[in-house]
Amino acid sequence: MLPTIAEDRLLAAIYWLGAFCTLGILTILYAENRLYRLLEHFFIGLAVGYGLFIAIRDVLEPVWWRAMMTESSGVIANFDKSPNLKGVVLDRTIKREGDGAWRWSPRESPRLLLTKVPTDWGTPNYLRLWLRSDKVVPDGMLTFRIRLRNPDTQKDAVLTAQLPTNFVGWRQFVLDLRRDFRITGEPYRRFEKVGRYRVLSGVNALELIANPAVQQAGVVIHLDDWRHCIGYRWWWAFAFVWGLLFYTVLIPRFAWMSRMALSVLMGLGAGYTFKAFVLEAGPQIYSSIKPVLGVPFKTAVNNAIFVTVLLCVMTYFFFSIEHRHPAIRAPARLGRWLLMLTFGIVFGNTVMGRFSLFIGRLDFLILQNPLTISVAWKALLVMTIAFALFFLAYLSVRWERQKRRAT
Amino acid sequence: MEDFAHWLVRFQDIDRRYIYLAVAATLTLPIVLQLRMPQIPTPPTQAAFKAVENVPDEKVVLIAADFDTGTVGENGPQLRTVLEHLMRRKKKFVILSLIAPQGVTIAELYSRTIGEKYGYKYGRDYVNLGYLPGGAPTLERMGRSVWETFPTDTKRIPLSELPMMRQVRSAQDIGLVAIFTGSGVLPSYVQTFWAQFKVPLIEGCTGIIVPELFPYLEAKQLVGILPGLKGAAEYEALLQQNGLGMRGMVAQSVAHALVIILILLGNLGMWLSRRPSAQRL
Amino acid sequence: MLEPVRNLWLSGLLVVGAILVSGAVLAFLHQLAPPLRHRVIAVLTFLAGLYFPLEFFIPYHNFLTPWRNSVADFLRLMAAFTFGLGIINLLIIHGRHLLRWTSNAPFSLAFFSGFLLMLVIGLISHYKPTLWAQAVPKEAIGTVGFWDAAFRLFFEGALQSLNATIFALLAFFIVSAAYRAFRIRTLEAGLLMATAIVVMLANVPIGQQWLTGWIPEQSPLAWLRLEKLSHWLQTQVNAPTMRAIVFGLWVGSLAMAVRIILSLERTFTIGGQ
Repeated sequence: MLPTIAEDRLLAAIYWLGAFCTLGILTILYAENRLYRLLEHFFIGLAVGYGLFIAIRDVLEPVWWRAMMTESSGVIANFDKSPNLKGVVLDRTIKREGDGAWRWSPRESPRLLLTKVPTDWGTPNYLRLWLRSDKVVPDGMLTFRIRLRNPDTQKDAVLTAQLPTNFVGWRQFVLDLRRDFRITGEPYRRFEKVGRYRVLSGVNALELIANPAVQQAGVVIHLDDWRHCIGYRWWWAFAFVWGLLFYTVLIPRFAWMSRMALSVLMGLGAGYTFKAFVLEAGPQIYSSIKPVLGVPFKTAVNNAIFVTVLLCVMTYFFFSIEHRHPAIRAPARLGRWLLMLTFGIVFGNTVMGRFSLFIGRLDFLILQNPLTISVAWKALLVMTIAFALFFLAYLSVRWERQKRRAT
Repeated sequence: MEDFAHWLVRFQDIDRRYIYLAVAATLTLPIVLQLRMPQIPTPPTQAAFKAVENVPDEKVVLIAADFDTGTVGENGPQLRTVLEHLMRRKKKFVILSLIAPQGVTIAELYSRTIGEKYGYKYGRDYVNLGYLPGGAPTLERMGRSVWETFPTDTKRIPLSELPMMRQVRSAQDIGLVAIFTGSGVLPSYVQTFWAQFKVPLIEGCTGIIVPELFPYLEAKQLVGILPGLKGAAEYEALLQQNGLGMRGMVAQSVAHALVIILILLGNLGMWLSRRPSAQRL
Repeated sequence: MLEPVRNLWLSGLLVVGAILVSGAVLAFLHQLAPPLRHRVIAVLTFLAGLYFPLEFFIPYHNFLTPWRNSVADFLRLMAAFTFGLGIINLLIIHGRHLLRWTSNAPFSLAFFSGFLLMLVIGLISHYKPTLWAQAVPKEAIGTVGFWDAAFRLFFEGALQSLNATIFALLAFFIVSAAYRAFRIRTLEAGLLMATAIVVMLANVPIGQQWLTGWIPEQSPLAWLRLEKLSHWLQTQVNAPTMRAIVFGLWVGSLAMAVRIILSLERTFTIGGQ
């Protein structure tokens, strides 16, 4: 059995491995060497392995595999705890799953009201309810109701279904939310208006009512394991095929299929560009038209500068007309200078960014050391490791040089 | 004087490794001495700070951790200080990443460590939704319905069973999107959260992409920016917190001074070597 | 719209059927003459390209709207499926080195060990954290399960340190490049350096505090304070310049989009023929 790990020991291990990796990579500053190359390849492996793991964890498994190959269900009630209701007791012997089931006698209390149910059901398309009856009641009927208050409309809605009691023993009722229920009010959330299955939430109670025939028959009903479910979405198999098409690029004979797969994706992306243009560039074009009159003097000057700079740089990039006429040439030249000013800003910020990354590493090496010694000692320790690794790099370079000379 | 000029001209061909050594040494010293200098907050950072303050209590913040471990030196401190701010104000948040699978893990680790101080619990106060590839269309889908887009969180718990996610259904329940990135992922959020769902955006970015963001800031598509490590330091100053950003800024100062001196020396050397008297050297 | 089914067997049958039907369609397309195939690809690309614009520009909810969630999920899945493409290439390259035991083999071994470590530990820690390992008691504070600990060790200790340091190397390279290549020979270079220096100084406390920190905030010369000067440059010079560049890019990408939709851009659709 592999043991559990104490957090502080884990942090120490992270630090020492991190320090080794950090300093090992830094040895490239001396020269290209085998230690660096080894760590670099190890890094690529880790990054790729991690990426694949996340692609499986966050996309392929939940969005594709589980949607296609499993029924996603959520528990409405498991009836494992003792109810505080009249006419209902917990039965630990007759049950479908878990610790027990509820034993309900409709003669004692014809209406069963469950209020401790999850309020949010996601986007189910059917329910699975297990019921058990100890005798057949031919004209018996149970009315099943879902009562909810839609959080968007703040109005009540009710979904009602009828469950016949013409069975003995356990029976699973599969109730389609759109086909088997009569709906009064608007039960679904507003934000997604289109599509078949929508979010059902604000559920505050479930109701089970026995009709007179059931009451008089003196039947005993058991309830267990109620779930709301989304079925198998088999059509994602097409996505699998489409995904595989990309891999035909490895087989020249079928490579056209990968180009088909790619070009459809490119087509979708290209189509989105038009939408993106309206949503993103539109407001920017609009905000480029700035007032110069009717605003405070300082704002007016800044606005004028802004628009002038924009027009000059655009003129510089305007290649449809030759830059010969002074009306084009002068602003274009100004545009070039303005571009240079901007590149200076970019350079200044880039320098800042690059250093920040190294400062982050130094901070890790020197200040994150878990040992309880002074910072000076920590720094000295880091320098010692650095010296050892750089010496290793030096040996590696020398060894390679000798090998090259020998061949 | 002539000796100095001579030296400067020769200094131009110095082995680059001496420069590397100088960089390492000058940056290490302020870190070891743990020098600190206050950072003056600039308007973009102040605006970002205010945007976080103004998130309505009933809404959550979307932390878009769109950075990989490569830029953790810049995005890390930014994310930490913004998380610290959110936790001080008892605001809830969800984590996701559009382009960088590593970002979500980093953000969750930070949330866990900082959250210990504030009693933040997974599922009740923050949730990790994971990596969401596919660009703006998938983000749009998420804005319409979080629950349908993510059947479960990264721990395989259905969203309907996470207490906090009961209130988070669509972009309407998100009060602010805080993007942390080292690449140009902003347009996807502008096209969806800003343009279609009217959710304000702030971005903590690496130094390189700071200039690209100002057009968005000007069009109010972006409310505030945390530019690089400096942005983190400014935010920490506003939050009166002594964090990673503050610690790094003295080293950053020394580094910038070193670059400027080297550029000036290089140009002086070039200028001296062009003089007729230097041609003999 | 497609309906989820309730039965595992039926679902399995439909999945197999879907794969077979797709296979048959592909086989049919495969035996077509290449020009005809290209036409099919062009039509598919055209239809795909029309989806988002039509859905968006036709007002309100229209006949295309019900599909937008599925299209988004499709894009998301494709992003994940194609992830394997790069991996396969890497595996082929490094697998070849290992099989032939070339001089690069130790590095390929390092690649494979990193790849398998992260993938396997990740999957175990996510799907079965108690595999051969003790479970963490619920009330235990400061204890981590073995696989979780291993995942964190390799993620934070190795992956993060290696990646962050590789990026940090750029700090050294930019200094040496700036020193060697940043020469003011023209007016343009001078302008570039001037703003670069202003921004570099304005971004750090020594510039803000020591150089111009003495200028009072309220004085008429307050604009000379470096952080204000830099902010002005960024908002009044950099913002419109960047916007002009972005407008140029938009024109380019719209033109490119039209070319893609009309299959005029052939490099990836029919292989540059």
